[in-house]
Amino acid sequence: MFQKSLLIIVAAISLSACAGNGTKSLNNDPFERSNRFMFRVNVQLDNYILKPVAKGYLYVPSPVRRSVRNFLDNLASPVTLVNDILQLEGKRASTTALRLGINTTVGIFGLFDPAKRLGLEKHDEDFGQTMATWGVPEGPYLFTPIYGPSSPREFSGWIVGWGFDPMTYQDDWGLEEAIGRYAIDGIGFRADNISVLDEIERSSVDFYATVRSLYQQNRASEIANGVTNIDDLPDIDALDDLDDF
Amino acid sequence: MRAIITAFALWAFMLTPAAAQEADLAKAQAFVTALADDAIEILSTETTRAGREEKFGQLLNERANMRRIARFTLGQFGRKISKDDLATFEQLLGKFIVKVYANRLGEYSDEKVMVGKAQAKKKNVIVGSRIAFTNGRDPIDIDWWLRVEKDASLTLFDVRVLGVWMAQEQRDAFASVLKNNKGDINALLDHLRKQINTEAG
Repeated sequence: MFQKSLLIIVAAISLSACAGNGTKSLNNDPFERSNRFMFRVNVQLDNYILKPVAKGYLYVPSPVRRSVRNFLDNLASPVTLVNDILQLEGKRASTTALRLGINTTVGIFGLFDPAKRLGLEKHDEDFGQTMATWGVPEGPYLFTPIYGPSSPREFSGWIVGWGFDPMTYQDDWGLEEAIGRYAIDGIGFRADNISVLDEIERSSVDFYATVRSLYQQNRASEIANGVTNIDDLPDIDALDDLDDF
Repeated sequence: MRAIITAFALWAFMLTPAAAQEADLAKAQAFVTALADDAIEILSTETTRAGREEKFGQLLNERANMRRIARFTLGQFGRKISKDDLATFEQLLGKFIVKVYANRLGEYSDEKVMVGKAQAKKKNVIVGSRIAFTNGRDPIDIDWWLRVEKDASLTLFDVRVLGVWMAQEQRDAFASVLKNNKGDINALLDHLRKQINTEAG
């Protein structure tokens, strides 16, 4: 299993290195045709399976859904902590460690989030972000059904994340439990964003391109830990030179 | 005495750029505060969709430089189209933005925007802000990208919500439509008209 994962990671990073070697297309999407096909498949899966299930999930009382979300977030904290450390983010690592300690104990195995009330805000980190801070190229944009928008760097980071996850090493934690956790996480996310995603789909001139832009921009923001740097803005001075157009 | 005056003048000269920049940042923060307050006022007082859209349209024309936004969202295609097509695009884009965002912002009518720190570089100013919700929902960080115009006034250029710049999102979608229609601006104009009609329905 480990060897297979390693192979996928090596293949993915090689692919990302190739794509970064002078073949960058508009929006870093050289596989747009196949990605669009996968996107259409995903839209159908969403319409017929995920969205109806997510709508049903909304009937679960809000405090229960919140506790499920808190529990899953807490379960993901060790992975965030390892990546905080790998990125040498001492302050963020201590916040994650404190959150993990407080929410697992006072918060009853993570069902509640008392750490937030103490000013310890949640943040997410994964190995894809860590690789980005190390300068690993992102590689081409990839869309796969169920998993959604990604790139070789992010996808391989997701796989490495399993290795950081203490649950992977629990004797009674198998594939079924891992899939169940992923499914509940996905349904919860979909349920929380039903109206937002509907609105984006309805108001987009090109839904595929809009989702790609949202993903790529949001991912870049996550890698920068949400910090807006004025030096990173695109240069728009040239637009002012067109006044006589 | 002359030495003292010279030293004072030098000191004042050295302080001026920093003080001026501070004033500009304060001005930018005030611009965003007023803009956010006016937007929330529209959302909470205008009960009809038509009324909201009309007021939002006025606000957008007053506070944003639509020509610059139009050119930006067209990307490299903006240089290839006729003046008439650009004017049509600019007009449709304004309607599109109003219809889409008047709707998307509907849920924020009871909230207060807290304006945070500002940073400036050349003609760009970014002002950070946070919307704190009263219903326990996690707060949302919003950045406002302003531009200093030739007459030193400020205009809105773009808004960043949850890490996503809105004009950039539209530019990516428009570029995709244009690319898939061999750069035909009419295809994009038709898409916009269709979306405006859909939003009106």
